Amino acid sequence: MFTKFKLRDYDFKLFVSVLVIMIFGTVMINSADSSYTYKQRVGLAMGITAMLVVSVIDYHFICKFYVMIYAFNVLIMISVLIFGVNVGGAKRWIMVGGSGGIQFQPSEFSKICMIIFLSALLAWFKDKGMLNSARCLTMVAVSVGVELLLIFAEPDLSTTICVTLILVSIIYVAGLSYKIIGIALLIFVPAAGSFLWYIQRPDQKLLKDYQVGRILQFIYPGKYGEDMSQQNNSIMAIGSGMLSGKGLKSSTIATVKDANFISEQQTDFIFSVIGEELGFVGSVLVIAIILLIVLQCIRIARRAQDTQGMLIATGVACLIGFQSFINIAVATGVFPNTGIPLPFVSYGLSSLLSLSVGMGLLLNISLQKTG
Amino acid sequence: MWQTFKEIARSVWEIILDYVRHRLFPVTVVFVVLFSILIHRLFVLQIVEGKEHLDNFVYKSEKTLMIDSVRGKILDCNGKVLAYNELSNAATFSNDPRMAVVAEEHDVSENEMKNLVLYDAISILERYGDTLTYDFPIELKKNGTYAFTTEGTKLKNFYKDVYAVLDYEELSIEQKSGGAEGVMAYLCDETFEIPKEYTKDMRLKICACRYKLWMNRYQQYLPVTIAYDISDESAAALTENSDVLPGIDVMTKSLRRYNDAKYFAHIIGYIGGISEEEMEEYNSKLTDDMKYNGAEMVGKMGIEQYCESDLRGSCGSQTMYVDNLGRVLEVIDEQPAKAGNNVYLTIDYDLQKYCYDMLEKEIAAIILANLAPGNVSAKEENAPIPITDAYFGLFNNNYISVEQMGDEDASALEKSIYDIVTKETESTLKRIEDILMREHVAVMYLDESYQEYMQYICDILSRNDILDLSKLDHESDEYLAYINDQDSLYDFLRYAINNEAIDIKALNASSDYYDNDELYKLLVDYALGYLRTDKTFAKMIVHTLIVDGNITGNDVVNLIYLQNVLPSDNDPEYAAFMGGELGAYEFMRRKLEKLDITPAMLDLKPCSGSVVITDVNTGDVKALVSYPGYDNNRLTNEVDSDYYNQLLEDKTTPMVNRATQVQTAPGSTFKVVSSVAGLTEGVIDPDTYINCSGEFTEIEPPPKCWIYPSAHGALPVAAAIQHSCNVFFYTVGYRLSMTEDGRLSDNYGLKRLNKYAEMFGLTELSGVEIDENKPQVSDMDSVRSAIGQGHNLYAPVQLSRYVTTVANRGTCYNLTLIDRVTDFEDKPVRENEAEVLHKLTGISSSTWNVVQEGMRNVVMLDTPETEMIYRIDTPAAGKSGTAQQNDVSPDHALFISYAPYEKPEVSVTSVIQYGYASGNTRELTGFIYAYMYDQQKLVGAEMKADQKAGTD
Repeated sequence: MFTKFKLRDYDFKLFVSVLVIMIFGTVMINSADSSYTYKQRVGLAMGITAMLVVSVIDYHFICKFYVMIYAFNVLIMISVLIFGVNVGGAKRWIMVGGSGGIQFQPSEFSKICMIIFLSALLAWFKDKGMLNSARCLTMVAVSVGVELLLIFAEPDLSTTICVTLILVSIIYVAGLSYKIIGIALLIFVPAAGSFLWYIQRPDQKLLKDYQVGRILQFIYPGKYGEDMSQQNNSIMAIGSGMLSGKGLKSSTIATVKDANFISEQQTDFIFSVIGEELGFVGSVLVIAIILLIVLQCIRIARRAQDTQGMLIATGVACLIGFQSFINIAVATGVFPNTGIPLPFVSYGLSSLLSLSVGMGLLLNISLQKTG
Repeated sequence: MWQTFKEIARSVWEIILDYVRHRLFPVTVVFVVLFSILIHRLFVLQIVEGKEHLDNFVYKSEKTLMIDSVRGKILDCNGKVLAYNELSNAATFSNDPRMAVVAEEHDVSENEMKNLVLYDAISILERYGDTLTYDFPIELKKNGTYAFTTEGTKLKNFYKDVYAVLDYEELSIEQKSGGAEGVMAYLCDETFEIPKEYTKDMRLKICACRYKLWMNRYQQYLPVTIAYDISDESAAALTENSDVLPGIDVMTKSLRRYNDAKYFAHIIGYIGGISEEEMEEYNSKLTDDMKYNGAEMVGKMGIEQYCESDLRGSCGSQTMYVDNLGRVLEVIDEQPAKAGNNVYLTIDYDLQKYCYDMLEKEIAAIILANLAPGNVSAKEENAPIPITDAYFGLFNNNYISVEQMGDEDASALEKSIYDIVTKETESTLKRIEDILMREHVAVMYLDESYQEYMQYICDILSRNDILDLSKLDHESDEYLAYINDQDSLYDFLRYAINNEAIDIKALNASSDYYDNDELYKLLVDYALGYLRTDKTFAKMIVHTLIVDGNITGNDVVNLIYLQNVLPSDNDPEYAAFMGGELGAYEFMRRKLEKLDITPAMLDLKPCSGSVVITDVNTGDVKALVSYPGYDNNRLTNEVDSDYYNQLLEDKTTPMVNRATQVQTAPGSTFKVVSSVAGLTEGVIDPDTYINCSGEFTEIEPPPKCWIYPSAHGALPVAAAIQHSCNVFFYTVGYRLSMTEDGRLSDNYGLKRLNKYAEMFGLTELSGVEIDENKPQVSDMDSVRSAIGQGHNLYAPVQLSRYVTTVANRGTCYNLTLIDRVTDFEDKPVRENEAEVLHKLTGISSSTWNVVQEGMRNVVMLDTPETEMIYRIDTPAAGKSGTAQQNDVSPDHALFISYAPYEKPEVSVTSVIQYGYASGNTRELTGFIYAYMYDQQKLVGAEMKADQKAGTD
């Protein structure tokens, strides 16, 4: 499993980019609420270690266990529904070591697991030239369907959407024929339309009330505007940062952050801290670094040795890209309020660790690149 | 070369094509586009709209809090504290940002959440016996309906606020006519969404609190106080539950307190929340940093109001950033509050107290001296007071409540009396209906009580604008016949109907066309309906029952204890009464003697009086007593509306300052002015003797001397003052009215008298820094005006300035109550001295000598040797006065004086309204001088008030 790799092939550029954004994240969390700094630093150390360790493990070796990985994934996703901690009506966390122990979020790991599993599965079919076969499509549909249902059942609408986007991208990049894509769109668009119609009915059973509320709030901001305060305050925070921001830990002028107008700012609304304290310059820089990482991931995908590598790299690229986009879009009010962490930056060890594993995989794929 | 280039170009093209064709290319494009959208969005937010967001944020998070200044103290001339501040807990209610969060948790709107929070908070407060304090002009009546507690302009303003209109006339007819129920329905159901399941009482309370906060809606972060001075238990319970009671806070507030309130209430006044009008008035004269805010307290009456600018100090402020929970993050600006100045009065605490207590004793003594068993109230001047009037006084002045006797938990005696009253009311109404509809008996043939009822019905009709007396010819036979009780009310009303003096609209008539019979029937129905619910009529019925002996003295004594007017524990008189050793009449006498029952409770004549003591050399007022007093502690900070209503309904009108606002004719005290006028104008000289034959025959009808049918004989002016001879002063008045060409001119005489009244300050306000009514100098009948009759009307404080000017021989001060002002550390700010209004220059010292001699002789020669004012070591000079109010009441008693005679220091003016005889005020004045100059004489001394009819 540990193949000899050449050190000069190691993609230090990507490694450094990731390191920079992770350290930056820790700084911002420290600024948002310094009580989380220590845990995040521990997470950072664990993340870097995990990334380095995974980067020297041949991804082909990991991919061999893709069925087991899938099975393990489904198992923890079921267990979170049974043993999970109930927070605000949703079960998304599992406590390891009883209450007061370490809390982790299986759906974060599930994303990486699914990327590996789906990449391996599609690569297997593609190598046999059966990518567009009914058998392949059925297997993909069933395995992905089960996963999505499990995330949805937590319930976690935003992660479901995010994972869907990632997996659909992998399937697309794998080479699904445009004919099938066309058919899928013909089915999906009307389905989505009727879904939106249905959830607005008073007795609908598909979504929880707060989920409907959030969707409707986005469609009709005036009418369902009561829950907007968190987002409005985030917009106010980011906007008030103006060009150069109020500075880290600034005390000359009180900030939205200090005013606690946004709760739990260190997690999903970390970008409001960035926007407020570092201004337009800092925000664009952060977006640029993330985009750079995404583009590097895509470059690795292109140069990957095989389909498997390419698809994993695509998956990780999409994971970082979509999640970053959704998160910042929410913080700036482009999207309705939903709970998705900003990759590498938001507080949360599960997210950081799973991303580190993903980056480790990519670094390994990069090591084995062609040409 | 070309080939190579083409190949390179193709391979580049192929590479590009290859790159673009790859399925990762669209993915790349998608991300670049998505991230560009984000950057664009950030550009808009931070660069284009950045400033706006920043301002919005600063607005949202910056708060300015006012820090109340500590109001200055009010002290007496010796530094005894009269008004001070006390820290206490108050429950406040505000628009808390947490309200939204908690509301979401409870799955209700913020509006509904506020009601839930208030419900819980009010329940906690009431559990520990605290009451809400609000100024909401609606109350819940015993019969379970809402009613306004205000009227007129105030009510219209309330309507305007409730319906948020600028002009009362903008309101719809339904809104105007909805009454208190309509307003409550609008506020509770539409504005505040108060649940209908709550009791009407709770709805009112919640509504009042919500309304108070709602009125504050343009200064949302300012909390409103819903309960002052709450118990520690309430404070603890509210604090413990603060997580589920967003908006409710316990704050430490500074409360105004008054020591020995009843003695000083009229002088000091009280404070209360500043009104819109007051704020406008004060702020127009203040610089921005000193302006009042809506949450501040301001003096409403008395010295509290007059010295507002000194006492107030200045509010501080704190500007800070707060977080979403209102927690302070950073204070960016702080202006400390500056405590107000202390005001030292010229009033002597001990003297004021002594005078008040002695005045009360004197009034009680007068009542005791004139109280008689039986029920006959003779309709004549200075008649004895029947005991039944005292019994009735307790009902009339709301100490015994008939309404309360109807309660379910009332005692058997109360219930039986309630039955008696109910039956009597019914039979009386029946009889009144008979009289009006069938019997048409002339008023004079009716029983006395029915004569009163008929008169009262006439009053009701005219008071409610149904009967317009001005439309009737007051000289007509019909009118005069009724006025003289020779006609029946039926005849009179028919006469009024015929002369169109009845306003049919005011009767709520269903049609505009009635014949005269129908209209008369309508009037009678209206009157009967009105009487049925009228408090005054109910009391008239009780009066009849008491006079007729259907409610007995024993019943009344029992009721005194059943209704807790007096506590029955350790009460020897009650024990003696229950043991049969003491009858009701004797019981009442003993209680009055001990002042367990005070004159103020009984609302008899007399029940009020005043003493004013002034330093004759400085114009400082050392005591300014008004009896009865009241407890301004219960009106200050927030008005205790129950107590306020009780004061308003109190027949003795305790809030009226007897020393400055109640005027009586000066009676013979005015004779000193006439003497000075006569002597200075040269119509008499000190040796002029004028013969008194008992009456003054120069004018018709001839006015009599008080001594008539006896006579004083020939007297000089000093002796005339001493004996208070009327004829002497009629003569002076007569001579003053003689023009140079020998004509008798009332106006000329009045003008000359007026000139001297003005010299003694009797034409203007006295100068004291509290509300005062302007005096009135007589403008008719110069002859009678010279003995203080005519239209002369003066308040005690005005007489005090007059006698002070006599005592110091011509320095007329603008009296003052304020001695000095110091800052909060008691460092002097400024001294205050009474201004001299003017000095009387044209009066010769022989004139002063002779009038002072006359006044000295009043005490020295004309006063019984047993009297205190005669017995004390310090020689006093004075002049008594008895002023007749009317033919059926006791006379007002007055005594003006100064001492010591040789070297005057103080003047004492005592007035007891309906005090029977001036000797009574002279007795009171004697005690006051003894207290100031010769306290040994007070040992064992008692007030007798045994002076019967006037001697002047």
